Amino acid sequence: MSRGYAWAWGAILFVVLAEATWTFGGRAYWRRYVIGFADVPESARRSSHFVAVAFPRLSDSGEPFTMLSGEFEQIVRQLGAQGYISIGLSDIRDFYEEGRPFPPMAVLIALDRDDPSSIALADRALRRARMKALVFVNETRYGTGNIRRHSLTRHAVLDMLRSRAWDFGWFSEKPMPPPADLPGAPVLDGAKDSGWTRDCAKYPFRFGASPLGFNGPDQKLCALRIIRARPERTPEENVRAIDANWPRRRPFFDDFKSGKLSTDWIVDYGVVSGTRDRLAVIPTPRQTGAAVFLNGTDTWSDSVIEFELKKYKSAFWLYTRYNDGHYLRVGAKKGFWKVEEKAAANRPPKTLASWPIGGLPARLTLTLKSDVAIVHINGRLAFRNALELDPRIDTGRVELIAYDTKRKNALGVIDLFRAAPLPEQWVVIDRLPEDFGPGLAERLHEQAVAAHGVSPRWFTVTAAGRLLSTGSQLQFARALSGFNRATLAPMVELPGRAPWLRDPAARARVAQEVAEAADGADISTVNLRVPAGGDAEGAMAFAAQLKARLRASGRRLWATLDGGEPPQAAWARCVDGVLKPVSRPGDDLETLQVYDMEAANAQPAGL
Amino acid sequence: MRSEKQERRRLPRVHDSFPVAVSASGSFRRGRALKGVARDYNEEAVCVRVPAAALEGSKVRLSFNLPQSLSSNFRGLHCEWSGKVANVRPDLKQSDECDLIVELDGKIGQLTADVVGAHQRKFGLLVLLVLVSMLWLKWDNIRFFWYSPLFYLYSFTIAMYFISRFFISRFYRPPDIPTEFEPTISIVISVRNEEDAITKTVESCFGADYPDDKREVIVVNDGSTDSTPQVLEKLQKKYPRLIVRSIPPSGKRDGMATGVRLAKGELIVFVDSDTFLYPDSLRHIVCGFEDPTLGASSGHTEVANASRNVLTGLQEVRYFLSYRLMKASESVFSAVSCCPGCLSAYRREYVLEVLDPWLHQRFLGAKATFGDDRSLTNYILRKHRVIYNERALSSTLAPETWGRYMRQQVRWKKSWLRETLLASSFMWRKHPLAAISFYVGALCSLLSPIMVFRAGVLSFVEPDSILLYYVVGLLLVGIAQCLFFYLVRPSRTWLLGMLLVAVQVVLMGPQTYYAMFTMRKNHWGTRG
Repeated sequence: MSRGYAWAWGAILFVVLAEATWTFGGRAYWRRYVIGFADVPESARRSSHFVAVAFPRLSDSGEPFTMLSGEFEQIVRQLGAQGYISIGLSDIRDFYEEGRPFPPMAVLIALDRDDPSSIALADRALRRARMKALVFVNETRYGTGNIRRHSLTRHAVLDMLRSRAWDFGWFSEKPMPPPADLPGAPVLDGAKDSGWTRDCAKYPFRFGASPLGFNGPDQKLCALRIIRARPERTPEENVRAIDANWPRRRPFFDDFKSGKLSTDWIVDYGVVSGTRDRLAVIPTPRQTGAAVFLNGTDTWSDSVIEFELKKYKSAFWLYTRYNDGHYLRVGAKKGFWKVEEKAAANRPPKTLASWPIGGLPARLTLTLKSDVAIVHINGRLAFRNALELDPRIDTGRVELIAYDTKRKNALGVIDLFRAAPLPEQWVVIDRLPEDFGPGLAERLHEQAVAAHGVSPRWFTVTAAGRLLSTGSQLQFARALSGFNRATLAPMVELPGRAPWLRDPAARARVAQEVAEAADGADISTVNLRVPAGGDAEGAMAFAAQLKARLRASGRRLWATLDGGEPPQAAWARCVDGVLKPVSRPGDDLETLQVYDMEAANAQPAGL
Repeated sequence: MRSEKQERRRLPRVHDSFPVAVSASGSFRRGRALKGVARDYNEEAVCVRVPAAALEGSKVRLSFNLPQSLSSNFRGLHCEWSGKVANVRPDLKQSDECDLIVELDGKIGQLTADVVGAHQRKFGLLVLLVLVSMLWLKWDNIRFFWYSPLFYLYSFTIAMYFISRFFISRFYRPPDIPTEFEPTISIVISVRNEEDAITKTVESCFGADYPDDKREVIVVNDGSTDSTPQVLEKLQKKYPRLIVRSIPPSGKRDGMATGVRLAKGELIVFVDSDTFLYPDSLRHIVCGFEDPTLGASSGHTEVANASRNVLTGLQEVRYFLSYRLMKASESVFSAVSCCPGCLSAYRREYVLEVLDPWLHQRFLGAKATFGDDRSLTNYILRKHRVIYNERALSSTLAPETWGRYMRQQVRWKKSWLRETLLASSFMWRKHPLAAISFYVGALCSLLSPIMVFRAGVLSFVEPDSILLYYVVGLLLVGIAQCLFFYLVRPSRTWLLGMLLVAVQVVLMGPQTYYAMFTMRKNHWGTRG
């Protein structure tokens, strides 16, 4: 054989071997090890939530009911740019079975159809974004050759599994047991009213189509939720809809001037319109009610919600903490403002307060703090007092519902809507003059309504270790906290550095003095202020001693730590809670926010 | 100074008789065609005998099918040429007939080339269209490959193999006639019971154009039991230079070997006892041997009795495709795998090197008594080049009944199986494309019956679209074959290419396994 032929044979063999290697695993391993997936180190995994999104069939030609592959790629890229990390089924199982946390902003991307061309298009986009996905394969047996061309081949499945870029779930158009060739795979329940997959014993791993795709530790593996991305929405709207699944952390405002219903609103049933500068909730001719809820509020507990009711018929309610059959609702019903609560699914609603409606439009503001609801109508406190709530009504979403016993009769129209989670916030009152005017009083009231604690500056410990009482307007502060159901926690200000902080005996003496002062003032909580840059160790030691003394009399100790750096972990043992200053809404006021020592920023900033 | 007529008369003439329809325009017999017969022609004019007179100077139109003398490849192609009646010569014996000398509007060579060119363009485009359709169909094989990987791999491979034959054969060029190379040749004919055909065979060997002093014809009578020996005696009287040797019945291979040993020429030309040479066959078969690396050359054989029935017509198509498509492709790489016994030439010194092993070849413990031509080609191909020459024409008698045809095919299949197995040990040393084509062709032939079963039977058990693809693929192959045949050899039998596909798939495919299992059974020829 000539040398030229030898080279030719070598080249042919090389090409054949290369192609064979690439085809039988090379491409998969390249994807797995060279391209890889965006991920975070194990230490950064601290989240206990994820969002699941199902995409429809993809196409390049824009066929009906499909999403353009370009738009899918846009969505995936945008999610990646926003910091979303794609997860697989193993991450979900590990979380629910072994407690392994998710990465921050975890998202499960899924395709609800196993059309090979659609998967190929999705794979291309996911490869570029270094993401993984789940595909639900159709397990309904068709048995004809033409149909088989629309399903994955065995080679494709093996390749996808090898690459670790794909997981497999299944769905069926008729009831069937879990397929044997997909052990442990989740089933997709897309049919609203079939329900044959809701047997947790038979289908232990299940995704149900839902307006929400947010899943957390409250869900079971057999009752996970998945949101559908809509092809008729723009990529930006779909991303926003995905983002809206996360618990809202930022205030939300909608004046309905965009001309259409924003994607933050999820229609539960009935007709909801966001046009003509208002939100209208109207039942269909066959329905008795209509409802729309705000996305991302499922885990809300304390919140401030405000809306302007323009018009209603029969009954229009704002539901809050609406979950698992319990809720608190505030609204207008047959000429009365009403506040009602329902503590459990098997309990009837209970009216907490009722007041005639003076006139519409009217602005209603509801502040929920722990077990207290404070309602203001047109800026004035309604029902004369804060309302005590059943403690079982703890968390749930925010929803607007119009209802009547007769069909197509209900109506609710609002002009604006504002909602914000209420972080645990305290307000510090500086030394007040004796004759402060109504303007300051009003400002103090406004802050106290949303505050969980009121902390007037009452005591100071000098560098010499003497406790001084520096407070004023003590009764006003008591009344303010009591009226607004906030904890009264007078502030004890420590010096930055002092010799007595290093002397255990001196610390014990000062702690005793503070405890006696708290006794004397009849306060349940003390707020110790530690200046920045001071003797932190000495302060912590003092706080520990003070906490012990207060505990002995059933009192609690909080600490306000000045300075921008995060508090040391040891503070969690020395006090009952840590506060950090956040803002000064006025010269006389300062707001503090409770610092969650346990959770670091496991969740995204959200909306 | 000579007149035009005189000039025209001086041009060399070709005497050939073929039917011509003469239709005239102008005042003479407008619109009516006269059925005439061409008698001869030269570069500028044609002499046509017609049953009526014509005016000198009148414009006429000649309609006829190209005769072989004008184009051996494209004979039968319909032509319409215009000309002018230059002379009218009445027949003195037949009062109503006369010879028209029609001066053509153009040189006959150019007119022929124009007709052939137009035909080739039209049908070449059609062939290309069919091949492109096959490629498009193969794209589906790639798209849906993993739905049935074995079948689609086979389908894709065989389609590419088939398409590549068309592509590669486009590069085929027959060797040119050397100007000074005229080797001595020994024509060897091994005969057994061919009393009907041997006379014509021997006469064609002596009648072919080649110097007598450089040609010897050797006939080896392999124990004929009919009147073949008597016929040979008569032929010896007619052709004193004919060498006849009788041997006991030993088999064709022994006959050929005997002839080789008797031969003295530089080249050995094997001719089957039922094959007839054309006048220029010998001139062409020796082309290429001036290159000492050339070991053997295959001629082109046509079916002499093609018009006998459908079976012989089908074999005409098959022979044509086998030579003009397959051998031509192999010849591009000088790796023709079989020089048929009908007409082939070997360099004697190379044959003598392998004569003994070839003669005493054994396979699976039995003496190899069939596939002599393919076997000898393999021995030569191991170390030397082997080509195909489409201009070295011959014609042979094909089986006229299905029974004889099937027996012949079984024998050929057995030789193919044996020799393919043996050749696979050295073909990889040849040009990579030739080698790959060889192995692919062999593998696909072996797998073909299985794929027929898969597509034809299993598709009913588990319905899928493979049967449809298979049938469409076969149709395209058939159409491509038909069109290619008509493209290069316009003939009324071209449509039989479709039947050929069906026969190959349904009958020839399973025959492979039958041949495999009956490999050890030996018998002589088709007529035996």
